[in-house]
Amino acid sequence: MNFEFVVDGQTCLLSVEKLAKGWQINIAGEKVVVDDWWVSEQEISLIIDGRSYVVAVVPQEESYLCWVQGEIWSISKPQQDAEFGGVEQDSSLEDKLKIKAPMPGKVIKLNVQEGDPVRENQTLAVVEAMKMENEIKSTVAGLVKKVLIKVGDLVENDKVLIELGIED
Amino acid sequence: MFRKVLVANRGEIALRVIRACHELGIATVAVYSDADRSALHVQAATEAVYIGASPALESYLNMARIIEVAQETGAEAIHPGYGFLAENPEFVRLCEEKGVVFIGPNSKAMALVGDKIRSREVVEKVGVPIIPGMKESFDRLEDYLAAAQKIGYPVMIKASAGGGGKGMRIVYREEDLIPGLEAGRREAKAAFGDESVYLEKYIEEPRHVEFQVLADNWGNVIHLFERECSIQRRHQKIIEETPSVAVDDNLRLKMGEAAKKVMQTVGYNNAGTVEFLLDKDKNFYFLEVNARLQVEHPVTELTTGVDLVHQQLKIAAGEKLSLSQEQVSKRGHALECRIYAEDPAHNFLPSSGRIICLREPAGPGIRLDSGVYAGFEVPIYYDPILAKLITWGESREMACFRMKKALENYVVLGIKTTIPFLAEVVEHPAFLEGKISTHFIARYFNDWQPPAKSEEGKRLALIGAVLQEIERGKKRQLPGEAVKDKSYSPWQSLSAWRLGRRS
Repeated sequence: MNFEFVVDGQTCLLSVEKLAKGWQINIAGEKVVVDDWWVSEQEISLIIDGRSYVVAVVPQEESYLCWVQGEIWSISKPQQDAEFGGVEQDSSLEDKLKIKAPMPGKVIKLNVQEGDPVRENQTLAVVEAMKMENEIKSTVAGLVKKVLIKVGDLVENDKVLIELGIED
Repeated sequence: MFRKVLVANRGEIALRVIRACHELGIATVAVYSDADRSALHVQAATEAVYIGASPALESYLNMARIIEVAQETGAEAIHPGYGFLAENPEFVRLCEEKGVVFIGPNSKAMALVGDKIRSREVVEKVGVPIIPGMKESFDRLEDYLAAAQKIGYPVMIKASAGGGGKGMRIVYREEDLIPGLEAGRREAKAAFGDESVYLEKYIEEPRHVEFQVLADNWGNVIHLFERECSIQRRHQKIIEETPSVAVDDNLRLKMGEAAKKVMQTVGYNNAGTVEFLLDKDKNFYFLEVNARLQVEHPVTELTTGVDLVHQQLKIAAGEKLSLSQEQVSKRGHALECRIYAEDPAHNFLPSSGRIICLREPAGPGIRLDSGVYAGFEVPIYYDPILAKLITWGESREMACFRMKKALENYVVLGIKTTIPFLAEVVEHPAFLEGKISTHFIARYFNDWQPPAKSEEGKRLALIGAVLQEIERGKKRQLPGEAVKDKSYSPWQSLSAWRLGRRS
């Protein structure tokens, strides 16, 4: 069986062969014999060359989240779908103009209205989560185009709060 | 002794108190909000009662409802834990009025120590040194400008009603004072329901050293030595230890006596903590009294062998202290790390969500006070503390080493935590040498980023991912159905399935 993963932006090819006990896994030309024991649905005890390791692997929507010796790795599937890959690439400015919630929380202060000019790094709103206030700052100098929230709103992670525009 | 106690809190501390009650043969009543139906404290208690919607104001801060539940369930006493109603004198008065025992100080002492300004005046009069600062809080923000000028910058804004870093700000320049006051008031209001703040002189390079005190209802007062809590981020303690490397026997005696004097002067009973700042020249200044069981109480328990929650329950039930000052001794060194649901790589933003995988450290010298489990959804409404990891060793070096190893073996997947950050702090050379102050984190760990990962880790992660992929492929396949596609891709069959979500 052949598999393709992306880790740290690099594509890795793996070929896997079932052995009588465990697996032979070929990673980028290197052959590894792995004895695996499933501790739970997410934790695997591995013995490789007599050395013992524990790996925790949690499936996410498009990737696996792996814990290994205190390191956390995100192993994702290759982005073959143009619909996913293409659009986000060249929209960095457009992205910057959309001020998003960095975490789920509650809007407790709103400092600007539509049409207000803003400086870069100006505090636009304050979102509270877990009793800490987090200032939502402007990413660019420009104008407030749209305010999509009001004080008291509960917002999800990555929700667009405010849209900015750049003056010509 | 009580037969039943209501625990007016949630998370790890509720669990800690519930266990202590059960150990003394006391039944417990847990209270919970909408967000906490699935919480561990609900599962651990003898009885559990719903008290309201998720926002704390409608549940864990709803005094009338909580007292009502105590009366309905026949609980004779309420343990408030820390935070929420733990230091609210109105709540204590209400308990006293309704004939429910509040497990903590009496309302008079609580009101006095809760008033940081008045408590300093009182303490100063009996010869305990204090930091220069305001004698009162003001209504008008402009009035603070003159006060700040008199004290001299930098000044510290502090919430009159609180502790734990909420509402606190350091201001170095006059133009930052008013915005700082506004933010401080809002945070104070949200955390304690009281927005008053005051100013004091900010001492640079200080160590935070506090003394644990026990006082019974009969006038007996003892201390259980110090805890050093200098490792703080934004005035929020993250690592605590005992003993402090900065405190020798002579200073310990002096500060311990001062701590007892403070508690006797304010008429305190039950467990409490006297906080001091210790400057470079070993001068100490009284800061405030924390009129509650503290987050960091386990380090004292591990070194003195005294169970502080048992002591709280016994004192509240009217028993006399069974220990004299001479009988209190300590052994070894203990360290506590607070495990928060925060992303240390992104300015410690809160990280709520479902914990998918949890593997907790254990072993000799390791204590874990945790309030979560695999599958638990960490709510956005409350403090982001998930657990406290406490290690003990015969030496500070061993306690630090055990902490490092325990953090390395602590797996939390699904939400971000402060574990990788803490693992680096406890092996920093300055930390290991004990060269710490409250500026330690800002100095050495500002803009922290996760360390570079290893090639070996990458290889193992890939092996784990591929094995999981094969395993899940097997499970998805219906019995008797073969994989038709040669280039087997389970991603196509993922459909709308979401891990950990209801379908």
